[in-house]
Amino acid sequence: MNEPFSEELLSAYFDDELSSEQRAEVEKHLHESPAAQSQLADFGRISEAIKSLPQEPAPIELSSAVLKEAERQSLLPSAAPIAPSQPRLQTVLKSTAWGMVTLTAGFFLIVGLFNQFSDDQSPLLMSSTETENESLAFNFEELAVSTPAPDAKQPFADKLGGGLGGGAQPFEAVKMDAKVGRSAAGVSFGSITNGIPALAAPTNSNLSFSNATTDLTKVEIGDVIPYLEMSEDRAAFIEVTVVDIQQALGTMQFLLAKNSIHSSEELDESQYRKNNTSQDMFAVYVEAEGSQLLAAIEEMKSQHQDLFLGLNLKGPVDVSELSESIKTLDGLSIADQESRDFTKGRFSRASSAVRKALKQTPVLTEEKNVLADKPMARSLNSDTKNSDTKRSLAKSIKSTNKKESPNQSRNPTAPPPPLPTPEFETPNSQAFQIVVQIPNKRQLAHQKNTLLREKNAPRGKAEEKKGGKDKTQLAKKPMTGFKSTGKSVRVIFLLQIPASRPELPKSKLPKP
Amino acid sequence: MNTLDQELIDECLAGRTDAFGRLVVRHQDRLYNSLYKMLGSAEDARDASQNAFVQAFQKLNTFRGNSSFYSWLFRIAMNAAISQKRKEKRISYSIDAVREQSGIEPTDTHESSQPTHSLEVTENQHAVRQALSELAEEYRTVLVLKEMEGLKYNEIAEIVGCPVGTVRSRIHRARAELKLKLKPYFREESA
Repeated sequence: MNEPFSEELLSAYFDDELSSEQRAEVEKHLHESPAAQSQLADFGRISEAIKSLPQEPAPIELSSAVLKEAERQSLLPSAAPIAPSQPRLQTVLKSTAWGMVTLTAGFFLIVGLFNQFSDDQSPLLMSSTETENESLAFNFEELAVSTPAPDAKQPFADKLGGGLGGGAQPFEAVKMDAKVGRSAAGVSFGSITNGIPALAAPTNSNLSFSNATTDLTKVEIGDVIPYLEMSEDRAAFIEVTVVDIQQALGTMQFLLAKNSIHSSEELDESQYRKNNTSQDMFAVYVEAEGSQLLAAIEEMKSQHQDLFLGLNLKGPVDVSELSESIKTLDGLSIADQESRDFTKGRFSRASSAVRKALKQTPVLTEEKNVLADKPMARSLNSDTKNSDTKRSLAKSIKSTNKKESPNQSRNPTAPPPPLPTPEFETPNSQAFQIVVQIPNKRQLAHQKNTLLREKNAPRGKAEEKKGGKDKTQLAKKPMTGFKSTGKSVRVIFLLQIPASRPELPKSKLPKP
Repeated sequence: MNTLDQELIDECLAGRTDAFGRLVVRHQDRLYNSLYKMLGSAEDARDASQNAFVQAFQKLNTFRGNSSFYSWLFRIAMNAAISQKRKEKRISYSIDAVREQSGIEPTDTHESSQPTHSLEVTENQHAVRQALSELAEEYRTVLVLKEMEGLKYNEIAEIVGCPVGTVRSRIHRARAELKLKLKPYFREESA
């Protein structure tokens, strides 16, 4: 050992950080030096004194505070992405009137792709029937299945305006001026112009939400946020229904965060517990642009197929293809996995049912209309907020499962048939549900007739004043570019959480 | 690398945020305690702990498992604490400073300071804590990591970001200073 003996060496000896040679040298020195022995004893006393200091337990709230702050930090636009490899998506939170997609307090995704006639309460549908039989009409009533409609004549207004907090937006404006917008991007986008402010230029993303009338800061549980995406021959509706809260911690939220999609800053455990008696909903509160959401979904799908089997939102649906082959759908990819082993067999049935439903036009057998309402209705009913909305959604969902009578299916004037729904059984795992509806021309004709009857029906003065003006303008501005094929596809993703969920941090429900 | 830690990390990276909550619970006491000793303030320790965990959450995908999660976490905590100190430019805790400024004796709310606690033990612990707080930060840090965490020199070096030799030197200097500060108490004990 060339190193001269020093107290530092003795200190290292005390810490057992010396080589065998050094150790032997120090021990030899210790044997010869009482001062070194005293020094070593002092090191021992110091060590003992430090270790004898009382342990300081962490504050009780530390773990929950950490999770809360971690979530908040990760969702800040300026925050570094959790996964640098992932493309960072720009968040345009509150930057524009329509650029932000969702600001929900935990939501239950209902994604819909529509191009159907159906309800006689749809003003847009009225416009299309007045102008061109083959114009595409969007059934907003159908879209917003979970939104309460206190006034049946203003269903969409409730959704876009009052129902979503943007009550100032008059329904009539939407009603009279809705028209198809076009996108400059390769993938088409849609906008409802004139009547809805700031519905304009699409982004370069594949999917753009353009619902300017929704005040996303006031969204409440039970609200439905319909988003329209249109081009000349493509149309897609994305409908996000806020149905729950406190169920956002998990894969979906994590991946959303990775994509810089804002998530619920606060989670309320009591609400979470209360709303999860059925344990069948997976909710994530997001705040993002359509492109962000799309990126997150794509990532989820690629990395967590068990969660997103069958989900693919690469672009809007080509309407014309709907009548030809469901397999050509760009915007809807149904996974082929049949195996019940996939994700423990939880998803295959839904996927199978979807494929089965897609092959039929329409699919209205009794057995297919039985199961879909159960998890949705149960979960919705478990939520105490917006009970009307939830009841509405539950009712709407249940109504889709009513048995169709033989007379009904033969009668061309019969109301639209219930939505066929796939089997759904995943009370204990994450899953999603897909519901597909493909009405035929007979049903569409019935809807048109119903609309025409309503149009010719007498109205009250005030209503006629507004309605007459609307109809005139609608006639001058026919919806163009969409061909009604008598097909519609609605996709409902119902994400579920595992039965054995861990504790969630205590926090508060975001207030609208 | 602790197996459970790795499992929780994997779960977290798979999207189960709650797994990170369990990681926090597993390590929070240890981390907080060490930070408390190093920073000398419950508030600072809490903030530093929280910052460390949050940063760990955000950087979790960069954790390679070459060291223990705690070592990795603690290193983050150290950096967070240093950044916090720099940011806030807090003055080191000083009884004299508080007394001079306010004329009020600082209140020690620690359990060991309560009347029921042995006066002698309390006095000794107070002296040790005071002596620790008066150490230079770089000395205090390595000594706490050694004595409280029981880390090896190379682990401390990794956390602190300095050579092992520097760690050894700092630890020795820290002990030497503490020995001087606590000499009266050690003599009483010896007597």
